[in-house]
Amino acid sequence: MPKTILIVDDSLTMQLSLKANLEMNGFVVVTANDGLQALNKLKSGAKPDLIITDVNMPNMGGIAFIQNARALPGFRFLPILTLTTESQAAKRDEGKRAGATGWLVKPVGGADLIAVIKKLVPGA
Amino acid sequence: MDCSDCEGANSNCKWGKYCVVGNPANAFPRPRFGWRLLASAVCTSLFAGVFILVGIPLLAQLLAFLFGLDSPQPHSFRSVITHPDSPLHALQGTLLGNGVFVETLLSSVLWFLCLLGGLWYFLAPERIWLGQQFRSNAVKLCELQDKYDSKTHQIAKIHGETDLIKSRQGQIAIEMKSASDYMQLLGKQMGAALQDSESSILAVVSCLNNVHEVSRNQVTRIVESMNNYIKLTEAVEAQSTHNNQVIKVMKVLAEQMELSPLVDLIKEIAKQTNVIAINAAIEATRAGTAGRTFAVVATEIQRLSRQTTQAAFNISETIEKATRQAAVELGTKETGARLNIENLITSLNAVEGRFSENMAILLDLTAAVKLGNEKALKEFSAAMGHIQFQDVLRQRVQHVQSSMSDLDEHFLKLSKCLNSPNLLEAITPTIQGRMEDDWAGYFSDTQRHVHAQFTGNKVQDTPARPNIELF
Repeated sequence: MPKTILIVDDSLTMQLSLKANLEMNGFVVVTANDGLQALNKLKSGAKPDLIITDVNMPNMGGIAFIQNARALPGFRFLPILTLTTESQAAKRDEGKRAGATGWLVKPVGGADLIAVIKKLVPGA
Repeated sequence: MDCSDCEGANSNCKWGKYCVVGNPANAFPRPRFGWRLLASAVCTSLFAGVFILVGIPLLAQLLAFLFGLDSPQPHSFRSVITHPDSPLHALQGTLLGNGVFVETLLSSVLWFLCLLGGLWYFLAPERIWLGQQFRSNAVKLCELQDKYDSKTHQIAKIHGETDLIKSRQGQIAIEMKSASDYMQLLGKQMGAALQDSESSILAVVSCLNNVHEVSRNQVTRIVESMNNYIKLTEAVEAQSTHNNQVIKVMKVLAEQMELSPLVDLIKEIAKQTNVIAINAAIEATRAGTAGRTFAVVATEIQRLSRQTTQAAFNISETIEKATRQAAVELGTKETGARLNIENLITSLNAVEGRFSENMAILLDLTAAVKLGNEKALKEFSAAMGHIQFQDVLRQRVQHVQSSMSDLDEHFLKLSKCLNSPNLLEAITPTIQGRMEDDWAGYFSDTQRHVHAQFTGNKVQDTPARPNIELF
């Protein structure tokens, strides 16, 4: 059974490039344009095996999305990775406090990303 | 000269008959100035003579007496008359006595008063004229003073405004210089962003080139494999056709061979029948006339036996001829199913060998194609990773765009506040302040390094963080 990954990013380029990379490696990909849209998808019943989110987004940023997602039932231990341009330690610590599983700074190599995902998602 | 009081038309003018505006002749009224001056000079001379001869020494003595220059201590004004050492007291006893002294003194005083009166009367027009001149000049002087004060005030105001303008110019010059620096910094940020994007583009191109190379190799392998298989297929088809022919002939041979025992059987049957016929003929002969019919039957049986034998012989001949023909067709003079089968088996083995060989090649090809696919997948993944630079570039360009928008707003504000009393307060934050604020808004280390390099600030050395961290 292929694993599902939810990608949350306001950049269409990022969505397409991540989707292409992950689908080539056998994952099913669902996308959302911002934190609010992603949260609504989770509330509507989506059950991804892993979430990759950007930080700086309109409507709802990545940090707020992680906090809200963690509050939903069943998503407390879901791996959530942040894929962002922010490299400041303060921002990273904020993400960690919000509940992020990992902090990835763009650009991340395709093979490196797949390796991290396989480490976090059993059976991937 | 002028007089703003009445211009000579008002009889109640304070200058009265001495007004020189209405009657210029009053400027120098009769008697002539010279006679009046002479009279004044005589009076003055008389007074001067008395004063010089009597008054000055007396005055000197009086002053000496008062200030105690020739005594241990000064004296009071009262003691000038009463003190025995007072010059006045001495004067009383020296010249002509107390009465003469008093008369002299009183005369001098009277002469002095008359002089003053004479001067006052005789030189009244000149006095008034001088007074008018003095007052007129004083008025003019006041007016000039007022104008001077006004101009001075204006000049001071202009100086103040000039200073303010200079101060504003200085502030604007600082802002312009800061703007130039800011624009250069933004230019450097854009340059760094473009440089990073160029290297990422090159990386993407390299990955796609590798994918293309792998794909081309895959195509080459597949084409070679297809050619090999075409050749193999042709060879197999040819061999199969030949084998089919051989099999057909062998079938015929086999059928023929199956017929041979039958032919022998027929011969045997014919032989037995002939024997039976002979026996029957013999029995028929023994039977005499009763056996004639039986003899006929025996004869017929013998004839049938001979026909059967002949038929069997013919069949055998035909089979042998066909067998020889099949052997010729099979390409060997030594007809024999065993040799043909061996050839067939050999050719089948050869086909199997070629299939095995090609199977090994196919397995190698499959492994190579799989390896190539994995490599292509890896290169494509890497290319997708490098494409992320576009998002990084977008955010860095957005940051520069935002800064330029702020700069534009700043200049608009500056243009509106040029006449503001405190320009710097009106345009706060200044451009320098905005540049410093930008530092807090940077999200990547590259931006911070570019800024630090440009401004000459030292970047705090922090250990390089990996771009992947799992908590």
